[in-house]
Formats: sequence, C-alpha cells, structure tokens
Amino acid sequence: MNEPVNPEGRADSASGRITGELDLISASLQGDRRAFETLYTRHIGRVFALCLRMTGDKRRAESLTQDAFIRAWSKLATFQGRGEFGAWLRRLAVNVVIEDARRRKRERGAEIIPFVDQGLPTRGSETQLHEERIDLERAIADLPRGARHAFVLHDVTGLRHHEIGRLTGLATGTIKAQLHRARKLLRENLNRKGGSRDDT
Amino acid sequence: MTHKDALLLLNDHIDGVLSPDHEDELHDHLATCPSCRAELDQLRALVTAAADLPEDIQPERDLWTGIEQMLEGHPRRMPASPRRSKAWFVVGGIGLAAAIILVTLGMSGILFREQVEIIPDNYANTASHYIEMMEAECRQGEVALHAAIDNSNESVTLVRMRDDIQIIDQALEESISAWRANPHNRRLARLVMTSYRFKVDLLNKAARVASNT
Ligand SMILES: [Zn+2]
Repeated sequence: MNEPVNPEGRADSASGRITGELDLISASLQGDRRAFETLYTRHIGRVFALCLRMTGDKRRAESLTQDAFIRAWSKLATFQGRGEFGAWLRRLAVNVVIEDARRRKRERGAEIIPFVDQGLPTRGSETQLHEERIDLERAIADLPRGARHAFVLHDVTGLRHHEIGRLTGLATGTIKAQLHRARKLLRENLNRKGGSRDDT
Repeated sequence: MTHKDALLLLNDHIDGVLSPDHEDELHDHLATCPSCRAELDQLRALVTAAADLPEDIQPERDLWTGIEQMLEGHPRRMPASPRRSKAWFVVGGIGLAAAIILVTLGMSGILFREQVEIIPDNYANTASHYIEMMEAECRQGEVALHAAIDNSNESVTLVRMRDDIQIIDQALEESISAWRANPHNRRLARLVMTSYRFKVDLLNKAARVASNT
C-alpha cells in the first residue's frame, strides 16, 4: 500500500538530472528540506540573476530571491509539471519582484551593482567582451523601472510580449513602448560609455 | 515608406512581430537607406548582447540559511478540495492531496524523461485506443463505487473517495484536452496514460475499502 504513487518514478539514476529534479520536488513536497536545498542550489543563480537585473539593486534582489524560494516552497504543490521547473520558479520570482515594485511608490536610486566583483563568467581571455557585458549590466540597472522590467524580461530572459503581459498585468502596447524606450536609452548610455573607453 | 516610418518599425522587425506587408515595405526601404541599416545593426547588436548575458549570477552571501528559517512558518498550501473541512483523506498512508500532487509529478517525470516530442501517427492512435480502454475500465470501477456508496448508506469514507476521484478527474480532463490539442506529443500522451493508471489504482483501493465495510 505504501509504494510510491509515482507509477513510473523508478529510482533511475541513469536518466539523469531532470528525473533527479522531480525526485527532489516529490521529496520537498513531503517536507524534505535537504531536497529543497538541492533545488535551491541548482536554481539560485538564475533566480538571483533575474531578481538582480529586474531590481538593479543587490540587497533587494537578495531579499526577493529569498521570498521567491519561500513562496516556491509553499506553492510547490501548484507546480503542475507541465513545463520546466526552473521556468516555473522564475515566473514565480518575476511575480515576487513585480509585487514588491508595486508596493513601492518610488524606488530609491538604484545601487550601482558591483558586477565586476561578482565573478561574471568570461569567455576565455575576451576581456573586451567582459567589459562590454559589465557596461550593459550597469546600463540596465540604471534604466527606469518599467523600461528595465520590459528589457530584462524580453531581451535578457527571452519572454514574449504576451507572457510579460500576463506577469505584469500590462497591455502589450505598454510593454512594447517600454521595451523600445529601454533599447533607446541603453544605446545612448552604451554609446557614451563606449566612447569614453575609446578615449582612454 | 518614409525614413521616419521605417525607424519606428525597426524594433518590431527584430522582434518578429511586424505584419508581412510592413516587412515588405521595410525591406524595400532598408535596401535604399544606409542610415536605417546602421540603426538596425546597432539595435540587433544590443539585443544579441542582452540575450548573451550570463543566465547565472551567484549571490555574494548565503541566502539559504534565511530561507530555511522561514520554511517553518510557511506551511504548504494544498489545492482546495470541495467540502473538505479537516484532514485529507488518507489513501494507503499517503495524503490524497499529496497523492494527487505526486501523480502530477510522476506524470511530469515521464514528461521530462521523454526526449522525443514528436510521435508518429500510429502512436497517437495507440494512445487514443488506450484512453478508450481506460475509460471503460474506470467506468466499471466508478459504477461499483457508486453502488457501494448507496449500499453502505453513504459511508463517509467512500463518499470522500468519490470526491477525491472527482478531483483526479479534473486533472485528467486537463491533460486529455492538452493531449487532444497536440495529438502527436508523446509526452502528453504519456501524461494521460499515467493519470489513468493512477485513477484505476485509486478505484481499486476504493473497491478494497468497500469490500471491508
Ligand atoms: Zn531610413
């Protein structure tokens, strides 16, 4: 009577990481915190990156990342398995960030994020590329909030207009306008930075 | 198309959301306007750079400890069950809500494990046939369950089991309609098949309970 309910959920280590992930989710659902910690370890980088880029504020990103995982724990039962767990988790994180943004009438000035110190991956010795990336991250952090959200969700995360609309409750037209504005501001900002780097 | 109009459409063009008519007009304009081509190149470079940003950024400080401390105060919200006031009905030592969730996960396990998404026609037919068979099998079990409920003067246990099976039916309905919309998706076919197997299993358990009352 007590055999696992998952009818085909044999402990099949050969089927690799994804199966392992579902085992971890099942275990977490039964209250296993170590299993949930493993899920956390696997997904923290992407969730934090999303929160960091959407807020442009390291401290708040840390706190919202924690909120997102706590919410994931309590809502794990609603994960329908109809997609990738990581994607579900990131949607949840976007919701957490957006709710937080709504609660704040005005944001404090965005903290400059020490991306240099965060050990962003570089491709070999392409330091120029690395510098350009840091410039881009900083420029994104400097964007006004609405434009930043649109840009991070669309151009960095790869969500489509209608998905962003569902998450933010904004009309597609508004999202497009914010996205186009973000691109314009970023290009202006980056052209300035690129120019000043060439001068040195 | 004027130069000004073209500039306004470049964003939609790179996002692939421009209407075919506008695409044609823009294409013609780009062929004659180096300024717009340069603008498009810059825009594309930005969008590419954004997509190439690292997906992972590790936080500098440990966030897990704070999360773990909070888990205690955040009991899990189970999907609401109709007319369920107290504990979840327990099937074989497993809370039914958990059982439903686990079967969902089990199904997704199959979803994830299957690498092949597109399946041939004959497979879709097999799955369709399978569903018909399972429908018939479940119907028998359900008829027996309803009869047992009547014969037992509405045994609370059996009524709850019936309610629980109805919850599974809702999940089943969703997975079937998803599969019908994508009949060649092996993952969805498997999802449906696994849900049925779970339902049959529950009906069998109900039958055992019925025979013991
Ligand atoms: Zn032009």
